[in-house]
Amino acid sequence: MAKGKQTCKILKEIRKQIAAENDIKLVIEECTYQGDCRGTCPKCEAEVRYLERELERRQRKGKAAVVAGLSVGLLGASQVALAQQPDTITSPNYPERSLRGEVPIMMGKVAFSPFYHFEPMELLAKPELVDLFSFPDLKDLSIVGFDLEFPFDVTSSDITSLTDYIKENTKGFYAPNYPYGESSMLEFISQNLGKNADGNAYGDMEVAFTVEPNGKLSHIDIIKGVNEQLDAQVAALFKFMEWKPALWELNSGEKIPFACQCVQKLHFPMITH
Amino acid sequence: MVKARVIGISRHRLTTDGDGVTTLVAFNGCPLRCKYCLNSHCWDPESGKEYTPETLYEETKIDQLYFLATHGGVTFGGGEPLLQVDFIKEFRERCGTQWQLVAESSLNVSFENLKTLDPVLDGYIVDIKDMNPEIYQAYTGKDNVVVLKNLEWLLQHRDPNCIMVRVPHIPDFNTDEDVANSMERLKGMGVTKFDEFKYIIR
Repeated sequence: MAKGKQTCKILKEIRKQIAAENDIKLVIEECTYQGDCRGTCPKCEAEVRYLERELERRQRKGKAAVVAGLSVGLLGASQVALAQQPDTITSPNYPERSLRGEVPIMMGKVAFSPFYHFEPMELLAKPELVDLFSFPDLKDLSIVGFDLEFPFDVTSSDITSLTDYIKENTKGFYAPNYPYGESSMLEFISQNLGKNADGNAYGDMEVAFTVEPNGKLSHIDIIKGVNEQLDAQVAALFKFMEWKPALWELNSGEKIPFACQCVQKLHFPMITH
Repeated sequence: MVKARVIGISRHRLTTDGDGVTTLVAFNGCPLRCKYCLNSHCWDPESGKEYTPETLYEETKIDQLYFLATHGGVTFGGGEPLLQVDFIKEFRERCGTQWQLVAESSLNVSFENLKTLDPVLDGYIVDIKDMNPEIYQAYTGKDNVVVLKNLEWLLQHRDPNCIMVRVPHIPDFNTDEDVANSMERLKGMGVTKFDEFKYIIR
């Protein structure tokens, strides 16, 4: 097994242990990505964030969050397997910061709320529900996950009731967006690339990030990079941006912002003189 | 405000930098000039991205759950992390006591730096290169007098189990016999944990 996949497997086991020990429902979908990875991807990261929120929720209710030292034994056993993986150099090697390579993009994944949740993957198996979360007019932006809250315990609701509730209460879902338009965002990026940006750097880039309900961007990661310098500069620029958050418009007219995990594709054309 | 340049951050390291899941933070700046340095760009004072302890904490805490579940944390490498005394002390204040903080160091720094930083560190990975002063000088461009004094102090003040000493086979600089001699001497000093390996020149 490739090293990234092995790392992914171990991290997944740690997440499972944390969930099990704290009575958190977590169904981890089998990863279908064929190539090697860096041990994590936006999907894995979303699961970690979900666990963090659930643990916080437990603590708010006065329950203990059991995490410390939970997976020490697991890692000890796994390290033997990993140590047998060949490295190109046995001394410490510092790979680039960001993930590279294709990451499977999953439409309509729902990672659930700080208050009530049900199995994210359950939703994927329910096309009638997934279809409700459609974001029209997206070109280079993919929605790979989002967090929604419901004013009732969805764990005790059947899927039909939930679907009906969403249908009855929803005027529309609106994707997060850069407030001045996509072309302005591209202009902002190109104008603010540092003086040292390599003018010869060209190619496609994919930036993963979460648009928080307050419009701030978090968890910024270059999942497909062009080169180290350009990747770092673009990631830094995303930190400065503020977006309009994703909105759930209720029939009452109230618009509820929610966190949305996105992947933005960027293209850097070759510059010819 | 304390700032430091970081030339790389590598997450989810499971076997190379101590116990548990670790994130390696590689600092700019090093007193040595090792011939096969993997990160020679750290010699350029302008190389890397500037961080404060707070911004580094914000970036690394993304893996807090993994750190806590596996008794892992952040390993500071470089470059030479023991040059960043104030930064790492402040980082410890931010991250609290549950993260394991490990320094991967040549120990070729002033004793003051080591002594000041020691209370906030949980462990050391000491890159000893070679115990033979001539080999050390030829490979790194510096002598190893301070290294030996610092290591001796560490072994007297810390549990040897929290000190891993890396002993590399360095092509064209030392032989298998030199490495064996280094290890014998280190065992005599009280070192119990070794990482013996070979540099592969690409």
